Amino acid sequence: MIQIENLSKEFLQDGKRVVALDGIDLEVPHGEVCVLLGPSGCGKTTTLKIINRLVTPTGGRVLVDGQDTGQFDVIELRRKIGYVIQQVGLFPHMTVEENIGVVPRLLGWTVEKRRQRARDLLAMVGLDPGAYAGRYPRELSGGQAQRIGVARALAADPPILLMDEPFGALDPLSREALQDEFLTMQSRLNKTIIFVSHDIDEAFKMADRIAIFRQGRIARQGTPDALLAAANDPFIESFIGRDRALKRLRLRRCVEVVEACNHPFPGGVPHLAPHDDLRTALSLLVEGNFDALPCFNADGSLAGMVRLTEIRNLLDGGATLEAAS
Amino acid sequence: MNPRFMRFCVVGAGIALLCAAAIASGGAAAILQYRKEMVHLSQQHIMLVLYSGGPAIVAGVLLGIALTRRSLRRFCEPVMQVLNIVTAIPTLAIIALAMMALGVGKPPALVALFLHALLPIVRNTVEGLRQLPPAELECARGMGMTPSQTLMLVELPEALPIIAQGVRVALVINVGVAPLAFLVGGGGLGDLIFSGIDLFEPAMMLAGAIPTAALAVTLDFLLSRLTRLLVSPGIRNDDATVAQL
Repeated sequence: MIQIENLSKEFLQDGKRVVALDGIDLEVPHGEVCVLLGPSGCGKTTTLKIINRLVTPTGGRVLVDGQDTGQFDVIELRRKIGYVIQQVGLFPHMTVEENIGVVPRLLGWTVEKRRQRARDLLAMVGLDPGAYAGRYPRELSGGQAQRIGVARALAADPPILLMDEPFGALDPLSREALQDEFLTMQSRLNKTIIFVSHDIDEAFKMADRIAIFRQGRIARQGTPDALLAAANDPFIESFIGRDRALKRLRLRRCVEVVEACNHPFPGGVPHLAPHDDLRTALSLLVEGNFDALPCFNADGSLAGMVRLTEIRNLLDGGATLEAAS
Repeated sequence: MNPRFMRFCVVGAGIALLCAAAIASGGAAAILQYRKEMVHLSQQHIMLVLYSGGPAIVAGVLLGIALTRRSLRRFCEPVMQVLNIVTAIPTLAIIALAMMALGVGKPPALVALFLHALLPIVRNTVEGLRQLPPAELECARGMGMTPSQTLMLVELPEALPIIAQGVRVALVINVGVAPLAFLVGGGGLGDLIFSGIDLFEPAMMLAGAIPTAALAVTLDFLLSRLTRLLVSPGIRNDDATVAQL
């Protein structure tokens, strides 16, 4: 668990005092992905760098599992926190295998153990170890390089992962792919992750919890659903856009609204699956002017139906939004 | 044009020119009568280069590292300016000045050659270290490398091609400047060259000049080989290993 308490950071720029962070409070429970969302220059990256102590705060503190990070040996602290940056930062003179093995090497693992770990991680991020272990970073595409960036951060199995716009420099297709793979991986690894992003869609897709930054403060925070459900909040509306109902539906699955079906459907109507998101369901419903569509399990049995009115009901029921700090 | 082919042409033309001069001056036999001196003085010449170049590499790289550390960075420009000025002084003048302090013999020659070799090595070390992407170095810190680990595992290996280039330039130039050591009694192939000139004895002059040129070319070749061996294929600058994407 990571607790950030009343964190502030000021620095001098051209003789003028600049406030980068102005009293940040944030709590990330174990195993959650917290996205720090906001425009550039709002303090997200500074917050991240204070956690692994690349930046020293002027006030407040960060607790990891109840212990003040200021009390840790800084080198040891950093080796327990995985760090992924947008520029990837792979070392060009090291092979993929050596890059992944950097932190294990610092920790004194044997060559054999490092190699094995690198191979396991390569397989986990979807790259064939045989083909990629011996390559150099310049022989990789952007997406491959960032997969290895993530693998490198995970090498020593740190409980915490800090990710600074890790997929920001990728083309939309590889970004989607990496996000999906990352979510699959996280569902198994259960790391505590702080993830900086300026991409609203990415934030709502990845996050268990989102903190929206504005000018060095957290303007709003809450679960994605709660943020999207907070009607009549002009800040959220201006920030997220007026299609937030659709954004919200994208986070929900058909399985949440499926209900027993007591009448047969005519042939030729589109079929839904329980894991389809509700935005897709809505799109199909609206497109064909249906009131309901059948939902089939993977084994072909009928799971029930998804009704337009149920989707509307779901949007009406709002989760509560935590007050802004 | 392929750079390797170009280098081959240049070296070939140089050798052809030297051979032509040798024939004009009365043939190989005339030159080879000095072979005992040639061997002996070549050894002295190599020693002059190594004893000045070795310390210059150590001092130059260390100075370059020091000048790129965060705490000393502000001294970088002033120190480079001083080195520029030192290098702008003709080597002959430095030898003369050094002779006033150290007398005749090898010491003033070594000091002059050392100072001469210093600038390219320091400059390339500083440049090599300065061009590394800041994000990458911050990433290294963020992963938990100590400053010395960052230096040894990331900075130096990545700056190596540029540092090595500086070393190569410095040492090869030193081979060419070392004949001046003769003027303060420092020995080396300069003995044959300058005596040959003074005595209007072209064969003697060439007996010094040809080995000097050969030494420079050989050293350049050896250092380029060594660099290739030491530099990681990931940052090596040749076509064979460039991305197969």
